[in-house]
Amino acid sequence: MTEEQKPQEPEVVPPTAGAPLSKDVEEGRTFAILSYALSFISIPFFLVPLIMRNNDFSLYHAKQCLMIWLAGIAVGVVGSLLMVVCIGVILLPAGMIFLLVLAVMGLMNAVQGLQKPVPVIGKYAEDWFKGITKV
Amino acid sequence: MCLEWRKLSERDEDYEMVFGVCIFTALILLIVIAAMMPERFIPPCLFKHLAHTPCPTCGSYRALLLLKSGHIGSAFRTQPLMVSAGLMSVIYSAYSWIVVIGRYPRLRIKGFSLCRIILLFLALVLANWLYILGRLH
Repeated sequence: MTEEQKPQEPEVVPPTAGAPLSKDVEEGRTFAILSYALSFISIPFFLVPLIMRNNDFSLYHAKQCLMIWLAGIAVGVVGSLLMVVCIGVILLPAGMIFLLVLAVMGLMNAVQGLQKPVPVIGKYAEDWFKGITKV
Repeated sequence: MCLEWRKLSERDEDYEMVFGVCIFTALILLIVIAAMMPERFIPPCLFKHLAHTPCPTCGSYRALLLLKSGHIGSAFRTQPLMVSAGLMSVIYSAYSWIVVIGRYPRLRIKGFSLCRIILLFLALVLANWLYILGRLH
């Protein structure tokens, strides 16, 4: 197959590549920051932007925060089950530290006005919750 | 699957930053626990209590106490898996600090397969369990 015959691969643009409008960021930043910050004291504030769905930026970070909470529930369940064997005593705090680090990184993204997924689990949030859009 | 060094691009995830911080904090936590816990106290294992058989990670705390007193060989014989995991954590933590601060190329697995990693992990846990059970009899 020659160079001309090769089908042109469409350029893959990830959903995070396009920077959101600055107005959107300005309006949604407070809710995005609060979603992460209040998660540290176990308040599910991310539900507010998730239900309101009036701002792309805050909705994006609310979805990331929801993913962190879901991972937290999974770590809690697995860690509690592993408490039966000796290793759960170490694994449960280690998992919680991991989620805390993710929340801090998400908080930093929100403060900087970046629409970036949190490491490791963020891309799953983009995939799973892509149906939840701004109304 | 093979290991390769590569420069971190914009798209790549900074695993060293996340896992490095987590593992380092967990190690600090472990050292604090080891330093604060009394010598005689061994936390009870629910699995051993119910099944009258040691669990795959039984002996971790004894190994930690042995490490604390400087008996590395005895600690490894008591719980090979957990002592190796601890050693790997220390190495990974040091590597993370070096590559994150120095902005060096990162070590990545080419053709990463989660399934294979899980199988390898389960095989290691099983081998460790058989070793612990075999030592008893």
